[in-house]
Amino acid sequence: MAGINLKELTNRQSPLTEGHRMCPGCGAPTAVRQGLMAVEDPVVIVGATGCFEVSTTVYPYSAWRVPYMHIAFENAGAGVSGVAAAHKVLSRKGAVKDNIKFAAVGGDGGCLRRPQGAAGPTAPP
Amino acid sequence: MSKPKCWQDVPPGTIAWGASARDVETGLWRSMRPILDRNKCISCLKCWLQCPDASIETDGEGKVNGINMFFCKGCGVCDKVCPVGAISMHPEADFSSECRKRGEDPGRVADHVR
Amino acid sequence: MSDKRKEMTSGNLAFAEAMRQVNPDVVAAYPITPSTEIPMKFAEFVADGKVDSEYVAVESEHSAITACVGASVSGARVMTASSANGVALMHEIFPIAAAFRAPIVFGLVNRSLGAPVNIHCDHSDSMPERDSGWIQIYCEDAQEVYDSVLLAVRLAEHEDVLTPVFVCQDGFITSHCFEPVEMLSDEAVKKFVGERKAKYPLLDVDNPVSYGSFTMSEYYFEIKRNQMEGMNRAPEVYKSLSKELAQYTGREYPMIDAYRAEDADYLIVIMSSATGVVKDVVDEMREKGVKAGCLRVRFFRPFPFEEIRKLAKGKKGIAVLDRSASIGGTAPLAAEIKSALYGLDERVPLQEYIFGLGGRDLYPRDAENVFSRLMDSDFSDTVRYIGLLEKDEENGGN
Repeated sequence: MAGINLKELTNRQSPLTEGHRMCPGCGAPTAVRQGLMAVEDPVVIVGATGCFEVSTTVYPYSAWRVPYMHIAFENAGAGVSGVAAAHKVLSRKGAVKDNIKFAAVGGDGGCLRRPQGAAGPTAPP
Repeated sequence: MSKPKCWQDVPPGTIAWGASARDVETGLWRSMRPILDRNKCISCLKCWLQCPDASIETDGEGKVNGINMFFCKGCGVCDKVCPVGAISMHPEADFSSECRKRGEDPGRVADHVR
Repeated sequence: MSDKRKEMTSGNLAFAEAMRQVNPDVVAAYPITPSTEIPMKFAEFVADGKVDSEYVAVESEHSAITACVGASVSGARVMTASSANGVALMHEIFPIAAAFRAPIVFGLVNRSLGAPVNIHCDHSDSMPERDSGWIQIYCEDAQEVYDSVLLAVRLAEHEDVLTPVFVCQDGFITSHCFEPVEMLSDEAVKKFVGERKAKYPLLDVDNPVSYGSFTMSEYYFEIKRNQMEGMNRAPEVYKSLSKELAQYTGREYPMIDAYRAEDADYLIVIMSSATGVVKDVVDEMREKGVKAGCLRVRFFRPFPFEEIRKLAKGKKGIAVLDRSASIGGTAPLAAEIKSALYGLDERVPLQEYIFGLGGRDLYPRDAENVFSRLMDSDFSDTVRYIGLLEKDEENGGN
């Protein structure tokens, strides 16, 4: 990719929608939105428990325009490994699209506990 | 889709439908409102990039053409990052007579648990 | 179906063979005695290209079950196995898997929970999971393990059920001892289990959904009640699946294995492999003219309350033999049986027993003792322990 054209990016829909319950001015949604601007392919997000998970999925509303899964606090890495493994097999069978990317999202807690514990191996996306 | 009325209507597996948060009027949180001066705006897109609520509206060609009052929480980040001072914050109370289409209230709790 | 074969094999190897024939999409597992052989054998199959599965080697059981949930929610068919403290480590995630309606089939090889560390069989690892929302099937022998895996895959994935299933077997006793097991052909298994059709899979990017939302008190109760329906519908679905598999195998497994129980006066209620001993003793007692019978509870969750009530009605005495304790309360199987009998107009006397903790064997003389005490109407309000070394307080010494 030669460079990022901001004007073109304004036409792309972010995986994170409006209507989430983060505090006004919080940097987290901005950070996630900007990070996900790097991905053009469809993306599946696995979140760790935390501010972000709780604010973007207040039942019955979800601020995720893409498939999202939250399991528990320390295992976003392991969860996304499972999803990526399933993708490997199911795309081989032709049941799902080939070009799906995966990301695990966590805050301080979700990421701090990750290297200490349930990182899980991340299958190549 | 809005709130399920009984356990039989709940979608399976703890599912919430994608992008359903777009029904939620987070604009109700505002106490300050950003006002855009279109004459000063140079469409540098800094406000669009930094808005936590994706509330800076663009016109399809990369030009800023407004701020979404349904979602804007009035945080003032756009005012702070604007290099030419095209955005200024005003008390929301000044606009209390405005009529607007309402959405789901993010603070409202269902009757059955009050 | 033709091409059945009979092999000398163990419970673990029968489970692994059934896994090979089912050919799940993803297996994420971590080894622990005595279930190690299941992922170990399956990893061999993966390495030799005998299955198309993706094997995710993880660093703990917690990650194993998490990866399984992630894969299952994505629409893949998922299986795994563990025991004892490995199952305990997964405890956090089991209710999540059940709430997500992830149809995981889990080979739980029963082993006692530490401390102290013991590798032999009792049910203290699976019983703490009885509230998790998973179906629990307890198998008496390796043949039943093999058949139950096939049933479990269909039961878990049935659209009215969509509940993960534990297929339990006794560690070392069933898992490692060799016995003849009749297996179906690969084609027959493929035909029976079919393909999984997932509803709302995570990988359907055109119809995005969010699993595991933060849910306030407004909706948690309704979501949980909705989840319970899956478990409630399982008995109905299971009965038809059992009939369907019987057309392939000639064997049918009801939710309770009632052995000479309908006309019995005295019953022992028990689960898993120790039943074999009780059935032998029942036969001996019947020779002597005693109307003894045995109920082997196969489905612990959902618990077959109606069937128990029907079979226990009018009996002169029932002894419930639990292979685990609920310390400070009633042992799990006894608690469910008592609860089932509560609704009967006429009280059936019941004696609670605990046996076999840490793999201690149940001998025929133990079962005979239980029956003779039932016949003597020797009941007590407190639990009795079989085979435990106790100080003989009455006679002032051991």
